[in-house]
Amino acid sequence: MAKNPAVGATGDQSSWRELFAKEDWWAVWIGLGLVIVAAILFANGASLKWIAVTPQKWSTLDQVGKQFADNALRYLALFALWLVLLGIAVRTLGFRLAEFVPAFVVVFIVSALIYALGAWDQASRYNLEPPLVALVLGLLVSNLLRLPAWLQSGLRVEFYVKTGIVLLGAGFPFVLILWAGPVAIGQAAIVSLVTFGVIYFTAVKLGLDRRLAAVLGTGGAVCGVSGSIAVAGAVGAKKEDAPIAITLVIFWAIVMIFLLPFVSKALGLPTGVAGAWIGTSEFADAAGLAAAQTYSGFAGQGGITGTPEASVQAFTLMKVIGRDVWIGVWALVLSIIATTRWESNGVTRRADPGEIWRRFPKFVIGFLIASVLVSLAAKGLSYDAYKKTVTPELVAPLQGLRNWAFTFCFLSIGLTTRLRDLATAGAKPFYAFTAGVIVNVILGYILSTIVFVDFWQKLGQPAP
Amino acid sequence: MNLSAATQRSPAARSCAACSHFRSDPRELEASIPGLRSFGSGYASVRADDGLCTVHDRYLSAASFCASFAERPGVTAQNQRNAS
Repeated sequence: MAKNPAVGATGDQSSWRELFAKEDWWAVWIGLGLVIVAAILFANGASLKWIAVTPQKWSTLDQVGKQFADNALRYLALFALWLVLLGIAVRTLGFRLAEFVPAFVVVFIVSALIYALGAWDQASRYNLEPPLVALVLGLLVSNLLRLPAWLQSGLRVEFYVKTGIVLLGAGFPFVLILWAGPVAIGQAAIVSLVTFGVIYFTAVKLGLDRRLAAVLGTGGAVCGVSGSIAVAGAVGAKKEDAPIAITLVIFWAIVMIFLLPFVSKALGLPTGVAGAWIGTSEFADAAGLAAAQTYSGFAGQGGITGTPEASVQAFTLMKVIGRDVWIGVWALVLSIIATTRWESNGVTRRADPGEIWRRFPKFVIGFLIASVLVSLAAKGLSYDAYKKTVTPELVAPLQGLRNWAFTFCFLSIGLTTRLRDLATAGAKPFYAFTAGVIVNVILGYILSTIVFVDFWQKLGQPAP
Repeated sequence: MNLSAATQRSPAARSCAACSHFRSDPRELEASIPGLRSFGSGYASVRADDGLCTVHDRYLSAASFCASFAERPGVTAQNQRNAS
């Protein structure tokens, strides 16, 4: 296999190489590249909508078959677009194209079938929401069959979700981020600090090592697997600590993908409110987006108010802006505490504020720039004009591409989660993490549905 | 290189990033940390350049250092090229 170009590089050289050696940056290049091309086409009276084809509502198999036949060239072009963009990225990251190309063919075809199933007019009656179908199908296949090794190259959960989030920025008015960001950060700060405290102190009380307690706490409170792995490195945790936390994050993240949307539905929560709760109480971006996107499909059913987009928007504000961007700060603070207050682990390191930037999830930059670009493209237009021109010609095609990226992600989650391969967590870590999960879910519910309910409800109301 | 020369270097030059006991290749990490690929990634920015130390059996920042440092072959030449 080809070596990753970042490995072994040092100092400034590493900083530059990171631009092409991390998935975050590739998500920015691909997502922003598509947004810029879409904006240029829009400014010249054209659109990306021909290539951003998506399955439309259908009732009979004949209809869906005809849809695919009539649009075969568009689907082929879309496949080629994704293959080229993602292929350049994964090749630079060190994967073999001989493995990635056949793997992505499988991912694209199965994603297209799942996407089309979600467009069936009876899909919601049978709870066949695409994120859930992709997840369950992937889990069944990966746990009942042995997948060929080459398929793994095409199952890049984080890469797909980050690319999708950058594209999501295009449908996210920048003023909305400015308006809602501070509330999201405030709510997330309360929940993150309390959840971390509960997990950390429960773990220490149960006799677990402080470094493991911190890794568990960050996984539950900040950003799941990414939080655990970042803090494991920052505090110099034992080799087995991160896998323990990862097992617990995966277990609870999958439980919450099903629990949060269906409990929210049973309670009749508006889409914006449910999205905020999911963003507060899910543990990973990919899992939370699966739950939030599932809930967007419930909009209008059984008295559920709010726009379909609001659940994904509220989730993104809470999880990405409210929680993810702070991982570098958590890592820096915990590394200082680890080196100054905890028992030595035989290794020395100096606290470095540069850690905040190094660990910053760079795809968030792409998300923000995409939001600014589309907001500038729509500047000066009335709401009616925005709906008549910007939405169908600029935003909708980018939303279509975003949904493709998310479907690749949801399928990859299931196909990469082999339960028997996960580390054994043990009873004490499970108790500590679960205590945090319980507090997190209850506190997230109170903050989203009582304390800040007016705010999150307003987010989901259609503009006048 | 001899031990005295290694210990005279700056901590940065003796850090895990340049140590032969340090494993930070993202694909190797994804293979050795169960579940990392499911909801995370070895190629994510949040991981920075952290990796596994085969001496201490710990997951460490690339900027860490210890008495067991052993320079990875090729690092000296690369550092000299960078300096010149």
